[in-house]
Amino acid sequence: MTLLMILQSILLISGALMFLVGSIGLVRFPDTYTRIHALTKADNVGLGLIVIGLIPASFSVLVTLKILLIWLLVMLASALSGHLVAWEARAQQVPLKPSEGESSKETFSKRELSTKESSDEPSD
Amino acid sequence: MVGLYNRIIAQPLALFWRLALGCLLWWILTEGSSSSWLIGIPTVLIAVLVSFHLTQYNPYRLRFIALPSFIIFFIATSLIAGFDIAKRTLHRDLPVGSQWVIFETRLDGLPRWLFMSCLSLMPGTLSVSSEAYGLVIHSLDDKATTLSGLKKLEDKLIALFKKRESDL
Amino acid sequence: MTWVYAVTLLILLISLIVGVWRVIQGPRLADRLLAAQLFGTTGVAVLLLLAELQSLPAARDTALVLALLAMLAAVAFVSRVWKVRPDSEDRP
Repeated sequence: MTLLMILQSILLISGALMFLVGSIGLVRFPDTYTRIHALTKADNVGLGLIVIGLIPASFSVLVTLKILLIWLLVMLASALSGHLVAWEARAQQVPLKPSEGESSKETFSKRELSTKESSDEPSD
Repeated sequence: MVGLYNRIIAQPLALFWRLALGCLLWWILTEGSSSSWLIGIPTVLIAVLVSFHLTQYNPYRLRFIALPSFIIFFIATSLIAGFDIAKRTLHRDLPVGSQWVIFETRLDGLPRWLFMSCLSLMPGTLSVSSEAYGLVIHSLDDKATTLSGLKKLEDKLIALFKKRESDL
Repeated sequence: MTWVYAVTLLILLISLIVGVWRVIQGPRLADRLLAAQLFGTTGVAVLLLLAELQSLPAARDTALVLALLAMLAAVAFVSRVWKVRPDSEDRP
């Protein structure tokens, strides 16, 4: 196994692990919004690592450009659909996860949003 | 139709770049197959026409000199975002905040759109909606961390675009 | 090198199975849509790997279409739910 192959293996497997992390985040995170975070960011990085790992496999300029283009498209798609789902969720008043120590009746009407300064995050 | 024609004629440089981009995309997607250009050339032409029809006049110009630094910044920060998520997900106590942050931005038009798209891939931020009073952003961190991260991205985008001087 | 691809694909498969839990659990339609988005992105990764592993260049085109479809699914979802609840469009 050459050095390049080892590097490639590391990239591919860590990319796949990143996808796994995204899925675990999707299951573990407490509300719809945080789940969107987990999904879009982890999957974007995962796909990026896999794409870079695939470049040396059978190197050709056009195939490389094509898979980079696919990555770019997926990146744009996940940013856009994450935004759309978050937008829709907020419009339908999907509640935020109440932070510990705060009252659970936290809603987020626009009026509250503009006046609320900073919510106090419990530090650990 | 006449309006469309006038708009295209008024921006010869935009026409050139869109045609070039269309041809480049077709070339990549067909993996350089030369026989496909029979369909490719009409497709590119129609795509460019549609793009002129659908988009408004854009007063911003990309500064190519600033592009490499922006791409490096973007890739580095989105990598950090991925590992940040991994760290939070695999942490036993699940250190995930969930709150709204309002970000008042100076950006508008294309840079604003790009800002909203990019910040969803930055650590701890997710763009939710664009309002008159600013951008509504969902954040996993406290307000100060979020705002300083967003400020950095905003500066990068300001450096990336230049407002056109001669607006006729 | 083949075993690396196999391990990668296996991890991706496990990640899909983990994601199914969110589809079953919900609780909202939006959460289920997120799982669908996960399938889209993971599907793209799987297809790119298969294209290389089985030297099947057409799989890359399929990956491209899948990426577009995942985005269209989100757009369709949002506009459909929007139409069902027109009252939520302009809240004070």
